[in-house]
Amino acid sequence: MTSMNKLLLIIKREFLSRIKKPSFLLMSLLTPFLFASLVLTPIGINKSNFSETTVMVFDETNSFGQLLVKHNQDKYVKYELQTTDAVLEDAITKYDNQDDVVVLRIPDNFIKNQAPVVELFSDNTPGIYLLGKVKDDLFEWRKKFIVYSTFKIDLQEFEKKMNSPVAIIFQGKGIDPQLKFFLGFSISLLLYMLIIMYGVQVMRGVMEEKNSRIVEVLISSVKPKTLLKGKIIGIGLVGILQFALIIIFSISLLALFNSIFEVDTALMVQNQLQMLDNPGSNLTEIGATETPLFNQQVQDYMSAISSYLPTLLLTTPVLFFLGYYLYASLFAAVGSALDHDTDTQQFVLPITIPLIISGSIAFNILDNPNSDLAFWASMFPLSSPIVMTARLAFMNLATDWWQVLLSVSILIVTIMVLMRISGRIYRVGILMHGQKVGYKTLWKWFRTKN
Amino acid sequence: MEYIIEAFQIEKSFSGQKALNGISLKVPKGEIFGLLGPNGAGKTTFIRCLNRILLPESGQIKIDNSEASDETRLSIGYLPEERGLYKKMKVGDHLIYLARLKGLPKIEAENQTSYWLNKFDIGKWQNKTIEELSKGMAQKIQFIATVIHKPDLLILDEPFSGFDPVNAELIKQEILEQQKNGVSIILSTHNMSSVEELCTHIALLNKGEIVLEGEINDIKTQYAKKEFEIIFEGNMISLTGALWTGFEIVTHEKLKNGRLKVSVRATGQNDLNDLIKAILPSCKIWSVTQKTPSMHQIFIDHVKDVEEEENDVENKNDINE
Repeated sequence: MTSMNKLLLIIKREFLSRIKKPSFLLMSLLTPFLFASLVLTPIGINKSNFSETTVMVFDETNSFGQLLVKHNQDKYVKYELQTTDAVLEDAITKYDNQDDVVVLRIPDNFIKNQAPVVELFSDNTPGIYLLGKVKDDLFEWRKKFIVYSTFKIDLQEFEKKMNSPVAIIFQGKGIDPQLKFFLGFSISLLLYMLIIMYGVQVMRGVMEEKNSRIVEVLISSVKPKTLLKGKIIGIGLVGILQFALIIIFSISLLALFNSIFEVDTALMVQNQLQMLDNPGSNLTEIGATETPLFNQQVQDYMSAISSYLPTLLLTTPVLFFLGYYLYASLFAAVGSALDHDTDTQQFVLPITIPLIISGSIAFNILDNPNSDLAFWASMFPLSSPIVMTARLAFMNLATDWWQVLLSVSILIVTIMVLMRISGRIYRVGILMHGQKVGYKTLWKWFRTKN
Repeated sequence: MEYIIEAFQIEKSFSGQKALNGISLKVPKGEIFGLLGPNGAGKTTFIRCLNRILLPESGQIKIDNSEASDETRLSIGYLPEERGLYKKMKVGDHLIYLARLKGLPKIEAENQTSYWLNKFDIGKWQNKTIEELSKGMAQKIQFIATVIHKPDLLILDEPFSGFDPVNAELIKQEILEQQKNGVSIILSTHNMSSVEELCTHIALLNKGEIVLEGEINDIKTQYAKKEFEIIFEGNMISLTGALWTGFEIVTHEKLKNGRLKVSVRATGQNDLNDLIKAILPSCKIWSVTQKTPSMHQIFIDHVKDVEEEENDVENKNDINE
């Protein structure tokens, strides 16, 4: 029996033994829901987190306060104008123990003063959001008030003209940047999750073989490197299958969600990301059809996703597999060195740190996917699988194919080097029991001749 | 004589420590060969070299007249001392998998699996997972996995450890049957009674070197201390007189039936014949037996001797320094 046949046999066992488990299908089905909850939960938390606060406005200018109250649309901050005969001190005493009421005094020189100052009275320290909101509103409306009083124009008309939203209808090549952002984000997140998950599975698989002592029987039939390669490839194929299933289930779920609730899911994600930057901001209503851009997107998303599918299905699995292979080779070396799960932490952490960093780079370069950082991070082998996946949605493969090819080539060379290093540690480690293993021991094993 | 294994000057070291220090060994074909030695003597390292789990730094290993290679190890069945199975895998699938890794075609692997499971009366467990089996049953599966691909050479490292007496006997009979079918067997064990019972040849390893090797009967004769036991009727004084030259009396006791039992050690070159000649005129002999040492005793004595010699050398070196 050739070495190749043995390799195939090992791959088959690793693959089948995992996909036969009910947890495999369950995980594939649940992940899209998990992602949905990842998006929806913070929105829910945000909504429940911000309670409504009433700002009692004592307006000594006798005109500015009206403007503030009339045009406020914030969900969480309400302005209530006090009558001219109300006494400030009474209000301060009255609302002393109420967390959801603050008192605002706008002095009569507020408009004229070059350095306008207001006073805010509250028994508790008001939240940053409230302070920011009041400050922004005062700044904004003071500006408008001065323009209005200088030029004597109709404020209603003025507002209407000033507040029309600007829509960008994307006419460039490829799919819409909004959707790209969504795809880049979710697919690189999925890749990150699967690389860690399946890398750890390789580590556990190696530890299982070592600790159950089956490994000595196995390596009396096959070379350790064949066994290791078979394990990594077999588990990697499970990862690719799961990746494909998650994408298929997610797209089906998205389509189902869109058609049943007429909800723009991509917009939900957009809102979610916006909220991370600016919590409590007025979100675009989900399902709203106010702006022509989103209206058009809702109709085009499904066809846009299907146009991106070939790139997604051809390139992403390759990047996943290579990224996984690279990290799995490191996880395998760790698994071969250790006897107990509890010892894994000191070795697993240094492996996951580059992954976490590349995840954070991937997320941050989505705003500027063609920056220098984005380019180099998508070439550096420890970060390239995740960062390149995030960039992929923004790239025009017809012209940028060389970047993907270069990144993949660097990855392959790195994998070959790492597999040699890990393989040397692995072949010694799997036969060692009861040793306290540190980095020095790994170095010693690496240098040991077979 | 044909040999299944011919090893020449095998050397292997770990972190500068010699685990095998120029081992040369020949294992006769079709025999059960005992590989003995204290813990850390290098037995497992040597076995791993035969299996190519480890590669020797120097020396040559021939398996059935061919240079040891990835091909030759397919004809070896190896049962390591520390052995295990995939807990979540089904019994049948597991055996088929291991058999196929040893090069058996799928159908043949399936047939052999059924044959062996039925032979060991565990056929109905074929679709159960390994974790559902009792320890004894799992050990039977491990043994089946070792022999399923019909190897020419079996290497069994402590095959009886953990077995209850019934299963140990079953495995013992199976080993004998394998030998009858022409399979050569290397038995690495500390269990000296099984060595005496099964092995025809042995090699004793200590500190990476072979300190004793050969046919078990020859070794026993060689290490017999020329001690004899005589049971006779007669006078103790006249027997002592008869043994005056060439023998010394170690112990003596009077038996219930009035006869005397004497332990005698030969000094010089005298043997059993000389003893009989010497005592014949002085008493009525009922029995004379030459005491043969057990393998257990030879093992202990030999390992102890080597250690004492080394200590002597070390002490001398200390003095010289």
